[in-house]
Amino acid sequence: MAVESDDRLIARIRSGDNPALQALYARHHVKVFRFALRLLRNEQTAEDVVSEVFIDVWRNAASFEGRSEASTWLLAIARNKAYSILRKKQEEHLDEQEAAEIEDAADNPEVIMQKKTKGDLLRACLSRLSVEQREVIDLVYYHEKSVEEVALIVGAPVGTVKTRMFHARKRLSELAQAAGIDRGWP
Amino acid sequence: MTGNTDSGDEMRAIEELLPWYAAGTLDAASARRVEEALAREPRLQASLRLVREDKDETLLLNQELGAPSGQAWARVLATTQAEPRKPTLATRLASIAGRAGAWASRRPAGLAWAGAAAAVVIVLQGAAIVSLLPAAIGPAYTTASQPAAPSEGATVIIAFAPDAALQQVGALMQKHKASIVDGPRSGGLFRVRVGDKSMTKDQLDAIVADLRAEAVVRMVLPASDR
Repeated sequence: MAVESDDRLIARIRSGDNPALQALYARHHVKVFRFALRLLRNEQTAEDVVSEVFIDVWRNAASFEGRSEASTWLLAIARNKAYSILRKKQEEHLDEQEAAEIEDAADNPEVIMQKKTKGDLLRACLSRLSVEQREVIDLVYYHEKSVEEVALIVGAPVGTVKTRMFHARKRLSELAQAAGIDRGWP
Repeated sequence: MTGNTDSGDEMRAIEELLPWYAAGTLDAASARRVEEALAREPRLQASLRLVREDKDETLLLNQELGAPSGQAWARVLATTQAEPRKPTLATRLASIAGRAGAWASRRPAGLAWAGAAAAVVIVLQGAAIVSLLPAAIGPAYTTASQPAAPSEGATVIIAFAPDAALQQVGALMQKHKASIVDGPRSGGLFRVRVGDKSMTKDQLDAIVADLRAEAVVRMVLPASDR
């Protein structure tokens, strides 16, 4: 039996077809959850974002114009919601740009040094990147989004996306270097 | 191919494209540009190895994150059930025609058959809808636990699999001598009469168990009004 395209499912959702929403949810909820969780670092909050994303899809399916993939649209909604939550959590004087650039301190350098394999170390370093750097790395490598799709999701020009990815990689190498892995780059 | 090393600007431009090259998401022209630069520059090859390493660890990191609990969907369902929209006949027919078109376009004869196939399928599907949904159908999106019209048979509430085809649902009804008496209601639930006469709880439980084993059935419960 043929798999119905995301566009067709969204067309059905537009007309109030709840099973179509369920099918779209089944197809995308895990990736939306993981994207939100990497940004928010809290499972319950990430789960709330997943619910809100698909409720938004139900309410606003008519606004989906099919110019990008449905998964790109879903991730953009998830990002907006996650950043809104992050903004609320920040001190009043901290704006979104600053908040996005702050590195996560969950795994400090001492903790990273205790990791055993090179893979463990690299994953710990990936977790230490700033929210902005984590999101671009995830979108490119895990969600397999093109430069243009990442630009759509994060709402930045293509050139900025490329530069952001370059700096994320550079920062990752610096963190790895500090953890004892000399990658010889940049 | 010049044999010369690339300028700093070109190196940086290619460096910036490497993550998308490794992910296979570059357009053909950019991918070719990267490949040509890789053939010239050993430094870029070393960089690509690091990018692939980063990519592998990012995949692993994400795959270890698990999935949301069933509560996430329960919240979606509760909200959307409270905000139902009734599908129009036109959108239902458009949906059926779309599926028929997709089916026909995959046939060897291609698109030429799509229109005719869609028309035939619409007629057949229309007949099937009429046979599956008798006059007893009430207003869509009322509460599924609402009492049905009095009847001799026992009824169950069924949610079909999201990708269930109408033909499969029809075959299921025939196999179990069942008929849809109402639906779809909110959440895509249907009220289905099973059996010709009142039956014992054990008999109904057995039918529910049989239906639950069907691939096209996502959920089945005895109706609360029996």
